[in-house]
Amino acid sequence: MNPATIIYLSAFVAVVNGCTGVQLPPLNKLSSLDAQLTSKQAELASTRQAGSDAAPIQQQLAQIAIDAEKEAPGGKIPKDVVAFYRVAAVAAWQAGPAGENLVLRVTDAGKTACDALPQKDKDAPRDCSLIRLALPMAVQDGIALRLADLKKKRDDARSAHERHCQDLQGAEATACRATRGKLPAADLPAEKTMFEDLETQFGKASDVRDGLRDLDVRAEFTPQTDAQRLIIYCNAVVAWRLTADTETGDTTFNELTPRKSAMAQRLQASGVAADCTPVMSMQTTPPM
Amino acid sequence: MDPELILFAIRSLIRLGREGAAAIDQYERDKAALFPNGISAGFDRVDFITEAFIPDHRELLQREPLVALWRDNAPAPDVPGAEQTLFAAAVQLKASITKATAGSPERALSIGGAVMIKQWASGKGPLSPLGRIAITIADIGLEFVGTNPSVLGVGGSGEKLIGGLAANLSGLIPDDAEQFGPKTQFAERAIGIFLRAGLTTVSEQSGLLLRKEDLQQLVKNSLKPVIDALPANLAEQSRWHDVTDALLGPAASTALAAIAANPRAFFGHDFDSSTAIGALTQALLGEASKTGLTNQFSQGGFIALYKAALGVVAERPELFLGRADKPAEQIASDLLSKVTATLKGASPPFDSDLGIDLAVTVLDTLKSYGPAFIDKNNPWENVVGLMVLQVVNGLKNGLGAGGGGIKSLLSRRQLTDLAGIFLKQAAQTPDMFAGGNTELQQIVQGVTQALSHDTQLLLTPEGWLAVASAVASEALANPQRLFNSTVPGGGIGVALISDLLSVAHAAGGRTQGSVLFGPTLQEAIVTAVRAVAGNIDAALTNRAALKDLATTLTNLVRTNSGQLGSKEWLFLYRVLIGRVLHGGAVGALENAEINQLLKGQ
Repeated sequence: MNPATIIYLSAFVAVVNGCTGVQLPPLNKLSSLDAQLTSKQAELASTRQAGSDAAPIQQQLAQIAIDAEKEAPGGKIPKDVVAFYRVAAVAAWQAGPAGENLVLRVTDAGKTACDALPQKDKDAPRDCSLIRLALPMAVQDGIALRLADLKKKRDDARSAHERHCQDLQGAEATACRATRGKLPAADLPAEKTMFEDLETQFGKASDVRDGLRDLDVRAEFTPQTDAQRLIIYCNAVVAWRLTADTETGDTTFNELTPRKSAMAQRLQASGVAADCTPVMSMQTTPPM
Repeated sequence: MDPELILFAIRSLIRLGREGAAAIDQYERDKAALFPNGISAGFDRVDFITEAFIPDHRELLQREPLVALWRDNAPAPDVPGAEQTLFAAAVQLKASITKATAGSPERALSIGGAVMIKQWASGKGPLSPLGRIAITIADIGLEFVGTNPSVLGVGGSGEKLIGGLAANLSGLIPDDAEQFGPKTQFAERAIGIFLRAGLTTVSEQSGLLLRKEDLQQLVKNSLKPVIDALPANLAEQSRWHDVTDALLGPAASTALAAIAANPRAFFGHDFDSSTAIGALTQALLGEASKTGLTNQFSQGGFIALYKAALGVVAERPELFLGRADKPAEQIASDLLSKVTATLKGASPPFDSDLGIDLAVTVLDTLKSYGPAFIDKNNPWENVVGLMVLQVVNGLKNGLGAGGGGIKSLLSRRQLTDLAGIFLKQAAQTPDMFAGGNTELQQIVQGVTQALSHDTQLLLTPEGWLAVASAVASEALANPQRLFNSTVPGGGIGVALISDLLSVAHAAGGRTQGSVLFGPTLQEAIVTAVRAVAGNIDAALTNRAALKDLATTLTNLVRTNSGQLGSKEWLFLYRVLIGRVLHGGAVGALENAEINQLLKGQ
């Protein structure tokens, strides 16, 4: 073998084994974090279905968000940075209360990373859209949990009222049964705020939805985004409805009614029926 | 090799590697990711009723039949069934609205669980990882133009090679391409290695004339089986990658050179011999993957074996193709696995590349002379290793335990040559291995046994090789006569050679005025073996007389050093050996008789 061939082969072997490292690529960090996110998400869903405590899993999801946030600045190219923030944003959203302090930070950083792409969201349509949706969805999820609490409180008030009616006799009892137990008026401002917050999140999610028209996202991304908007809308309906179940809430109920209709119209304007039937069949709130 | 070419190869590798890594990163970024659902606050039937009627259809709640059921913005609590009735009415209302808007783009949503969604719409987004690899390959080709413009010129072999690859690219794409799975990653690597090796080969051998369709066929038949054969198990995949990185390039170069040397041998006849190239390449990688690249044989050893087998394909394609009992893949796999398995069990140093060299000798001989030496009932691919083993065992037994003597007498190369001499001759002998015949082993053992008696190095290694060649030829031409390991001493052949060595040793070599060493001794041995090969009984009867003849002549030449030398010794030996075989000892030789003999009277 001539010396040149030896040099060539040595270089060949060195490069193949060392520099390029494309043999069996090890699972890279992004892939690993993504896999963890998917796995924990599945665990979260089954835990909720079983009615068990989801807090430990949400702690782990928060950790995934922290890890992804830490990795993001080290991404090889800007799209990698965005991808890490997408993992961080979705994980922080799914972490629920454990991710409350993270979600705003990682979605802000993620949005900045998306804006820094040469063609902005067009360069990473799914990732940027998910980053932009994560904050409104995290906020709405938090409100949904509080609404669920209020609904329980309202149901308790109704039950208490019914028990009270049972203790009464004659006309008093009849009059009592003709009415229903309500939440105290003190809850009204919170209900209104929750409605308004949901209205705001609905607006943000709808803005993302409108922006999808200019992005090359997969066909299923749009209906999934619409599903989130419908969930927010239906939760807003719950908040709106609760005002009617609150002492002195009629005025607020009537005041919020056109705003509820406006949300329904925005849904319809994007081709989505304002029909909460699919939300009603969803598993309701996770256990607290 | 052109230094530019070296740089080119390195740059190409780095870029392919970088591009491959980038493609993987892109795959990781863009693969399906989770899009979860938000949480519902527990939307219930009363929420549904309220949302359905208020505000747009509030009037329905203010008239019959619902008016009594709705009070204070809620179902009347004291009217039994109010909520159910209102809910049914709300469902009906929603259904009628849906019906009314059937023509509009508005649609009802269904909400399932979280969904996995890829980054890009189908057909949109950046070039697929495979597309990127294809472009990189083209890019490498373009860079090659810079250093070797003639190779990639129109009609150049390089252009044909890239054309052959491009034409098969879709066929080479594995079934996990969509997921950019291990096979696709491996295909990318294998294609790159093949291209680099191919371009380098055609560049180095500018005279190579390759046809585009032949190269297309080669790529299809040789690269695809290798890609398809990537194992499923991760550890095996890793080994497969290693051996491919190390061996596929040299194998591709070897195959291209073989095809260029004799294109008709591989293409354009009844057998598509390029199929056998694919089978061999796959078998080579499979065997190297099993054995390891450093444990037993070197990369050079594997490639030498591959090259020899390729030679058989070129000259005798029928040995690989068109056999009813076995496909080419199985024959190639059996050949390499049996050879390597046999060698692994052979005595050192033949359990290494030295053994491979012997197998190569057998294959080369098989290529030239055909399989006549092999038992018709035993597939040839099973016999190659066994032949080598007979020689190796013969050497081992002939030398005794350890075999230290022969290693000090013969270099590694000479040892291989010695074994090769036997193998070459045996492979030219019809039915040599019929019925499990072990005659070859006996001959090798006999010659080696005799050779080991040369403790004073009276013959040079080359001399011994010449002796071995002549003796092997006589022994093979006269079966079961000269060497027989079942008799004490190993047969008359061993005895004769040993006796001559003994006489030469006793004569004391050139310092004592003896001529029986070196070429004279070599010729004497050959003469003796040839003389007795057809007359074993006489040789056995007159063994002592034959030895005496050598002694007498040696002494005679020494004492008459002024008139007699090595030429005379040999002449007299050739003349008198027949007399001894027929009439026994010659006794003392008078000067007059010697002169008469030398004069040819």
